[in-house]
Amino acid sequence: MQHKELCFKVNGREQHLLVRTNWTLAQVLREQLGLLGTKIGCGEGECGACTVLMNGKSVTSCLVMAVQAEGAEIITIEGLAEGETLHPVQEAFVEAGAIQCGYCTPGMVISTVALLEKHPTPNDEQIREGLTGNLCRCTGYQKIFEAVNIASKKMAGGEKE
Amino acid sequence: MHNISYHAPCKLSDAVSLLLELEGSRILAGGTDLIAKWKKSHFFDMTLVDIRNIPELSVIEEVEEGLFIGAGVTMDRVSEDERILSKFPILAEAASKVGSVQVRNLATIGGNACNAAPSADTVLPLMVYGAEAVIAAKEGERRVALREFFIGPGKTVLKKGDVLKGFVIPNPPANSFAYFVKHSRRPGMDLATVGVAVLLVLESEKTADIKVILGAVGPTPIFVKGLDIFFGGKIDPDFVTRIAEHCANAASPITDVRGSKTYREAMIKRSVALCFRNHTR
Repeated sequence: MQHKELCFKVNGREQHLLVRTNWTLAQVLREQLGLLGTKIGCGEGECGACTVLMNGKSVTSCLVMAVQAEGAEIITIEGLAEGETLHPVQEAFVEAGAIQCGYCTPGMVISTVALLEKHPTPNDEQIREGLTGNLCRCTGYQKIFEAVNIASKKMAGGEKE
Repeated sequence: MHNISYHAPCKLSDAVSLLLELEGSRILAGGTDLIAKWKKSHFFDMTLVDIRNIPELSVIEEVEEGLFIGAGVTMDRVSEDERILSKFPILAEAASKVGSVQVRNLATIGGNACNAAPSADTVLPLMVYGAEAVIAAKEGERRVALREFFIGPGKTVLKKGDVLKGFVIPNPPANSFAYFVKHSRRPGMDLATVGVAVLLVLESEKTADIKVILGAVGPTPIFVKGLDIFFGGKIDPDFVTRIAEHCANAASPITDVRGSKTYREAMIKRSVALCFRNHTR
């Protein structure tokens, strides 16, 4: 089994790891760094449960080989809150009740953060488009779309303060 | 099984040498097709040459004939680049319809062509605009018209040691209009059931040149031949019906999970007609 050294930044911390060349980023985050918030659903890039930010862009970490993350900055769901204070998107998901079983939630939240970065006040079409790559089998999406709107308002308000 | 040997050269010439030296080596770009296939096919052994560190593969730059787009440029960049949006709008449109946000952030325009799926979205606009593939090899660079690039499903003219460097797309002629339709089962995260790209050149309200490329309805993307019989015509309902019929006859669709042969034939007619109706609208 081949290994390779990997230097990258995860949630603001430099990491130097020896990783298996046949492991995906999702596997390294979960198995080696213990960041179990990132879920593996389909493992084929269809469901979006494993979505993380890689250099500011949302990617499905089950389709990225860990060695491809060399030099990258990764933000996982664990990297969004500041101490005990949740990220506005996380707060919005809680307030809207946009979480049922919770398996899709970390990916949904990360995709929402990326969406609001691009469209701070998205319309319905932009929300649907921005969350195309994240499947939820519980909520029927309505509560999630509500959460995106709540987060958008929270973040716009935050900037004015 | 399961073994991956990984290389990430910083120079194009090193990538070419590695591909020639290492038995069974293959290029890794965005990985959205390759890694998914690797997982579905029981984790076969791979020797990967990752091209992401090679600077010239990720540039978009204006050149004498038009625009050069590096093979490693990701779909999200293709869909948002101002130069592509203004000169080659249907290429940006096609890139924006690939997979999902996450897929577009990883997937590359070069990978879309090299994977050689008959349904590849960005290949249709590239072909209709007359793009050439720029291929780097040990003997030097060569160019191949994209219309001659595909041999069959998953097969291209690329040989061992070849690296697709990018595409040169010539500036479209004056008074030209381009249209793209991706007909799929749902708007996101789906492959095309039928894809159509049309480039139309008009001279005083009449057609002077028409190019049509069809996707997902044959072993490779199809360049529709014999369209010169429609030159000099006026785009009226009868014209639209006849050209849609002509295009459907050029295709050889199969029945698969995305649609039957008969359905695809009907959808070619509908999609081609839609392109021309969009023009007259």
